[in-house]
Amino acid sequence: MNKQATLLAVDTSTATMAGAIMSGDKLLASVQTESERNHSIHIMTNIETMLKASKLDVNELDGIIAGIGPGSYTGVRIAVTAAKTLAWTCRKPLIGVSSLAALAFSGVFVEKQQLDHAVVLPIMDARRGQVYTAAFEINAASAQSRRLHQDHIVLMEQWCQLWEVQLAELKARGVSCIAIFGDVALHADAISSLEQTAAQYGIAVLAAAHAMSGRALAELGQGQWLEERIMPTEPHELVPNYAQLTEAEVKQNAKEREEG
Amino acid sequence: MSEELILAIETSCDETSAAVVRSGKEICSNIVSSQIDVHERFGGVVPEIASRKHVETITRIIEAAIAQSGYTANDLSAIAVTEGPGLVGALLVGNVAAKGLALALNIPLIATHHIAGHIYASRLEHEMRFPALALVVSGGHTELVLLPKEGVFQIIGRTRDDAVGEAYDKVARALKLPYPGGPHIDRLAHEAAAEIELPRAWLEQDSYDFSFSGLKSAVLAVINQHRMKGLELDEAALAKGFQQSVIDVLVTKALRAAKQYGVEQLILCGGVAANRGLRQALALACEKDKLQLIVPSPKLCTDNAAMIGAAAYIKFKHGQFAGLDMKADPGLSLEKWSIETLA
Repeated sequence: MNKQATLLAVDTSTATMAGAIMSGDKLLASVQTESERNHSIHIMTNIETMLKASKLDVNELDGIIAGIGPGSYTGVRIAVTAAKTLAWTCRKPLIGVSSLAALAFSGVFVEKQQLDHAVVLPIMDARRGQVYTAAFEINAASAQSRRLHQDHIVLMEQWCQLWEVQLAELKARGVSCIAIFGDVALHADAISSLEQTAAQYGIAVLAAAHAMSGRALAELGQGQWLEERIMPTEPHELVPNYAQLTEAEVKQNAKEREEG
Repeated sequence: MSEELILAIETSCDETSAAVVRSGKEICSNIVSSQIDVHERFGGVVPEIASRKHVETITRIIEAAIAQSGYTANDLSAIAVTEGPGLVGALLVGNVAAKGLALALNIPLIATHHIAGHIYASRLEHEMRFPALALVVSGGHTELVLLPKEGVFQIIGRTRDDAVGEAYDKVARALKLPYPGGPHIDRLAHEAAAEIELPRAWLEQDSYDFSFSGLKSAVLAVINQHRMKGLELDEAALAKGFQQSVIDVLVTKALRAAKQYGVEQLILCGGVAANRGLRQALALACEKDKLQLIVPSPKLCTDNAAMIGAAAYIKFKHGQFAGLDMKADPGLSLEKWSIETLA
């Protein structure tokens, strides 16, 4: 996709309805509203409003970007369904982007000044002490960012412990900050424990709620931030990444294993 | 008014379906992707899995429906989608897809009632005349619906507990029959040499309501009694007793209502309308009363998008469209969906 391409990006994996239309580096329109449970009502009117503000017809877009999760099951289905239907109908290239990567870079976008060489951990609450998360390393000096961990679900306590044992190594690498973005209030205890240990190594822990940003998602889709090559997907093939099986499958699998 | 093409989408439960319907009567395509094999190992529909499957297949089904219709997306006049009732997560997928199509093609969106769809499936094969009465029987519904005129619905009777299909599934599970149980009970009842007679729930004398939970309990009681006494159970006879009780109540109430309201036609629809015993009993009773009975083909009785296109056409004719902010409503009222409210 060329640098000046006009792209629509949407994500509904969190309580935030996040969307943006960008033409190259220029933000033409964006939306960032809290509307948990109501994403399905607002998604298409929000897209319509952004198109109008950009003075564009949907057919004039060069491509569509969707956050594919993980996150709220119902939520991720809304942006994915909207994006794949629009892409299929208008015959536009479609790009699926990790919602966790988008959440991480939504925070980075706001905290750029604070983050020199940092590990960024986006977290979305997944109930019962669990989070959907991933890890990225950003380095302002080299202007590079790379992914350290795939999107997955883990107990927050375990996730923090995993970073605690790596603190010396991170320090040696020049990492000065661990930034945690997303549902931080729900996991304050685990974060504060990591913070205390990290302080002994002179590594700061920055925890902030920063909502999902449509612009961050769009820029990820344009391939501006991550080294990962993100290729367009055939619309039919775009599916959410739920990061886990349904509860019914987990129970049924266990039952069938038991019964042999 | 002859070339209006509606692309209809139905995702209220475990079928992902899309259809192109011309002028509310003619099926140009009707693609139904059933998830039955996916839900079988769970013994029933798992809503979260149904929603996941809908997302995976929705655009493929839409593509197939348009391709098979012989038209292109640009020929379409409107997009119709099931607004409710149904599983909310499943409905949402169809809703968002429909809105995307309406926005991209810049054509109207029609929010459609699932049960209105089951009833108007009749129009895809038959001429409908009013007033009519519909007996809607499915896994989630058991209703007697009066249709005083086209597009107007008045519910005169409904189940107070289990839907007919639900009762069939529960009884089938108790008899350890595979899911879905309805067809197995129907088959067993036909093969039965004897019948274990079970009670009928008539409710109040003038009521058109139904109740099947007592009957289900009676079935379970028979199974338990046999088990406790160590007797062998004639399962076919029990299936027949259950089916006869259900049919007797449904047929009697439907015919009584048809007479009281002086209807031109009786329509049998919904997934359970595929039940042979029910079709035969109703056909016999209607013949005796000289009442025209309409039963859509089995493939139009189970959930499908063509029926949604047929019902949506009424709204299309009246210019009653939905906005892009329409909301799936799992408890959508049929009466309120009428094109006009009854005085």
